[in-house]
Amino acid sequence: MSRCYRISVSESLRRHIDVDDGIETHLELLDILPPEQMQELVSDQLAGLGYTSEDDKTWTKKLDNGIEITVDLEDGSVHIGLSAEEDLSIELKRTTTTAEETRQTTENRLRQQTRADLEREADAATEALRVEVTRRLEESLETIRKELDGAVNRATGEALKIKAGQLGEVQEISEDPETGAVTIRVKV
Amino acid sequence: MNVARSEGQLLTLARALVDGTHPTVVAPLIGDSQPLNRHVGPTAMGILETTLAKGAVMTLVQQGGWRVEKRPGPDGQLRTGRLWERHPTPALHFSKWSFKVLRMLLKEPLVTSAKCPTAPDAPGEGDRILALLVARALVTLNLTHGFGAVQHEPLVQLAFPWWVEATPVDWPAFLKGREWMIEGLHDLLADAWVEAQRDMIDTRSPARVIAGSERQRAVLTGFLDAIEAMGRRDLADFLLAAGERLVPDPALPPAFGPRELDTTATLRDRTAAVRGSTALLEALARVQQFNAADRTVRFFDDEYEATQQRLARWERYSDARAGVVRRAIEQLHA
Repeated sequence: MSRCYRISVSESLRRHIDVDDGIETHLELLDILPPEQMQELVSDQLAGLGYTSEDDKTWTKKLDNGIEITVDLEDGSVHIGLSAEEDLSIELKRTTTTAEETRQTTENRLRQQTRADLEREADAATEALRVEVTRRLEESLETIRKELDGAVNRATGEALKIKAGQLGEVQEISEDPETGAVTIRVKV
Repeated sequence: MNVARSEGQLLTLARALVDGTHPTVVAPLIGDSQPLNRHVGPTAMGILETTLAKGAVMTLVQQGGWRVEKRPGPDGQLRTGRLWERHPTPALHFSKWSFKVLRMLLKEPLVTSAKCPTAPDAPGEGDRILALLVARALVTLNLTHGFGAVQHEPLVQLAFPWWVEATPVDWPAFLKGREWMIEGLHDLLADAWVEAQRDMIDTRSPARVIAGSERQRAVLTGFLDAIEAMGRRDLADFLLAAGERLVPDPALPPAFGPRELDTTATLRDRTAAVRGSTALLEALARVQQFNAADRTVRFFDDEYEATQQRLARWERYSDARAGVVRRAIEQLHA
């Protein structure tokens, strides 16, 4: 009668994982003034909101939750992204019993299965981290959009005032803070 | 006339495909691994040939050929009448491929796999129409494994790019001399694009929306480029018909983009899916550009009469619908 063996395998995995998510969008700048002037007005607004720039063309801001916003005033593109990283350390132990004749084969197979399980767990952990990144990004998106729209609207308002001044004598300016509407009376 | 049981099933299937019976009626026959005799007797073959020939003609009549229209004939001159009055009778040839694809529908499991017949080297016009009808049945019954049998056919690419894998089509070469086919299959093509749009709206997978929309975009770009170069912009009418059905009332614009994408997908993928989902809308916007060009044609220009026909067609689609489509594109691309 062949003997019965208990086989135990232990496999571990250490891995550094990086995940990220992000979207590209666009600032819609009206051509009220020449592009360079419009960009300057938007730059002033972005600076006021805590964005920084080294060349007055690309402005960036990092939020407390790690989200990075990059605004390129030359082409109007906006990138909103978040990345996260984690060091995974997973250990799995598996045990089975086998007959003496198949001991080696069974151990090899058990080891293979355990490694496959490790990979599955690592993939699941990566995906979980990525889903969390996406969730945090999505939560902040509306607020970021409103902030950027506000900056563009205020810059547009300023541009309209400048343009009005170029056309004639500005007699009255009224602004509705709720709607952002600007009414300018110009004597031409 | 007596035929064997399996021959009877083959004939029932062929009849259902060509006479417009809803595919669900013959679903028990399709993809169910029916046992088939190796050979079909002369009686059954004769009935099959007649069924396919008459059925293909009826398809062209019912799917758009019945309309009295004023369109360019083969010589480019405008002709008024039904399809068979505007064009000479085409030869609707069916090759062995047609028989093989019908056998495939009966014999192969289709839900899990299918051994598809290879594409014919020189398909007859009858083969092409049958391929389109088979594709319609496969799409309706969601038997994706059968698409390999028909995706080679340009008509299938034109109608069902949302579902079938892309195969390259030389649109100018295909359409030359086959304008009657597009005219005769107008309703079927419009239906297919309406269904595709509805299916896309309900699709949750961003990857599927992105891939399907890309295939649609490639097909529509190639097709519209070809008909513009040919001077047959009227062949895009089925797109306008689809647009009319998708926007029944311009005062109540529907939502166009995917309704509820998988929220566990990345925001990047979901945004790409929403932005990419506008292939049909972009095509309608391009047809609007055709219309804008038509409005500049003067009464003494050569193509004035043809232009007037297209403008009349546009009136039914209307500027109001075009506005809905334009705003939808802006919104989805934002």
